[in-house]
Amino acid sequence: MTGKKLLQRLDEMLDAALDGTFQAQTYDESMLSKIEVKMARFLDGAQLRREQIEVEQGHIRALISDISHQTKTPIANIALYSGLLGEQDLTDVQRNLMKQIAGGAEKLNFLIQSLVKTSRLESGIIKVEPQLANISSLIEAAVAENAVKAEMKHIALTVSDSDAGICAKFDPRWCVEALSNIIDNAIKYTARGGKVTVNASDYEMFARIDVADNGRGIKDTDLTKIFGRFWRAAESADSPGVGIGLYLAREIIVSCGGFIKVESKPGDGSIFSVFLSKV
Amino acid sequence: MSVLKTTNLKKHYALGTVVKALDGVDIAVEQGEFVSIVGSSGSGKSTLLHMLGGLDRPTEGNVEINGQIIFNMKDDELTIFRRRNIGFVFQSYNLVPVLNVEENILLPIQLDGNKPDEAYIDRIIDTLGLTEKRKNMPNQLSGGQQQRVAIARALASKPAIVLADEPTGNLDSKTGMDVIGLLKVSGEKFGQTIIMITHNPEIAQMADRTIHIEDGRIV
Repeated sequence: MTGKKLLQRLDEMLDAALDGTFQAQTYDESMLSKIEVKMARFLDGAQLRREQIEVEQGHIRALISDISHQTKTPIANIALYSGLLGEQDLTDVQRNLMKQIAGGAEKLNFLIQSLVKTSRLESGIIKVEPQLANISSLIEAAVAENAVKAEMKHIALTVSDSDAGICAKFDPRWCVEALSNIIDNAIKYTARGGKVTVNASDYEMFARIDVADNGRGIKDTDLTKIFGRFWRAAESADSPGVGIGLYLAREIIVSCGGFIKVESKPGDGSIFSVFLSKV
Repeated sequence: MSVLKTTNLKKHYALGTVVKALDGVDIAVEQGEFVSIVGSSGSGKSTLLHMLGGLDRPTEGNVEINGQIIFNMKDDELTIFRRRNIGFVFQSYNLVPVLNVEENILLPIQLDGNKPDEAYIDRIIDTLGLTEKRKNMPNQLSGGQQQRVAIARALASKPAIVLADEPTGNLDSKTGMDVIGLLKVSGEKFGQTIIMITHNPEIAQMADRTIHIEDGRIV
C-alpha cells in the first residue's frame, strides 16, 4: 500500500469511528491490520465505559426516587405530630420548642422537594418538553403562585402593560416553576412596601420576560455566583431559603433553549430577564 | 481544564515613546465558558483579541491554546493552527457575497479538505434560526441574520475557541441582544468556549464572566 493510500484508509477509519460504524477490515500480517484491530478494541472499550455510565445513572435515578419516597412519610409525621402538639396546653418554653420542630420540618420538606426536582432534571428523569405557546399564560400562572407572598409583605406585584400575544417555546409546567422561583426571589430580597414588576417584550429570536424589583440588589462580584447550587449571599443568612431556586430556574430555562440575564445595582434593585427561544 | 491561557502577555509599540498596548496580561478561560472582555476604546482589548487569535505576535509573553504554545509556531503553522482551532466572528460579518448561507457556513470546513458533519451542521443552522434562509444570499439578509450566519460558520468546524470581536458593533441594541442570545445558547448547547470583546455593558452581562481591561491591564 502506498503512503497516500494508507493515509486515505486511516482517514476513512477515523470517519467510521466518528460515525460509530468502525469495523476492522484487513486481516493479514501488515501494520495496518494491527492498527485496525487495536482501534476496534479501543472503540469497544469506550463503548463499554459509556454503557457502564448509563447503568450507574440508572442506579442514581433509582436512589433519588427511593429518597423522595422514603422521606415523605417521616417528614409528614413530624409536621403532623408537631401540629397536634401545638394544640395541647403548653408552656411558653415548650411552645417555642414545638415551633422550632415545625419550622425545621417545613424547611426539610422544601429542601428535599427541591433536591428531588433538581436531580430529576439533571439526571434526565424529567425531560422538559418545550412547545410553542403564548407566554402570557406562563406569566399569569407564575404571578398567581406568588400573589399571597407578595401581599403578606405589602409588595406590589404587578404585570405591566406588555405586548400581548408573544409566543415562545417553553415547557408549561417547568417554566412556571422557573419564573415563579425568580419572582419569589425578587419578593424575598425586596423590603416591605416595595415593588416587583413583570414585563414581557418581543425580539426576533426570543421572547423576553423581565422581573424587576426595587430590593437590595446584588453585588457585582456575586452576579455570576447567584445561580450556583446552594449559593447564598453572606448578607442573606437571616432570610429563609436554601439557595436552590435560582439554580433550578436556570437549569430549566437553559434546557428549554433559553437563558437568563441579570442586571443589578446594590441598593436600587435587580432585573432578572428570562429569554425564551422562539425557534 | 483551561482551553486558553496567557502568561505575562505584552505588546509594546515604539512610536517615538513606547506605547504599552498590552502590559502583562494573565487570563485563563475554561472549557465551555462564555467570557466577555470589556474596555473603552484604546484600552487594549482589540490588541488582546488579536493576540488570542494568533493574528499578531506579542512583544513578550505567550498564549497557550489547548496546551499548545501558539507563538512558538512558524507563521504558516500558525495559519493552519488558527484555521483548525479558532472560529472568528467579526463586527462586519465578513460573509462571502457570492456564496449562499449554507455555502458560507461550510466554507472553512471545505477549505480544510474535510467532510462536514451534516447532522451537526443541521443542528447549528436550526439553533440559529437559519433553516429557512439556507439558500439565501448574504445581501438578502438583515444585519442580525448575517451575523447569525457568521456565528454558524464559526461553530461549524467545532473550534477550540470562538473569538467574537465587537459582534454587535453594527447592530441596533435589540438585534444585538438577539444575536448574542443565540451565541450564548449555542455555546451552551454545543459546549463551545466563547470569548467576546465588547464595549457595550448590557451585551457583556450576557457572558458567564466579564474581564475588564484598562490601559493594557486586567483590572
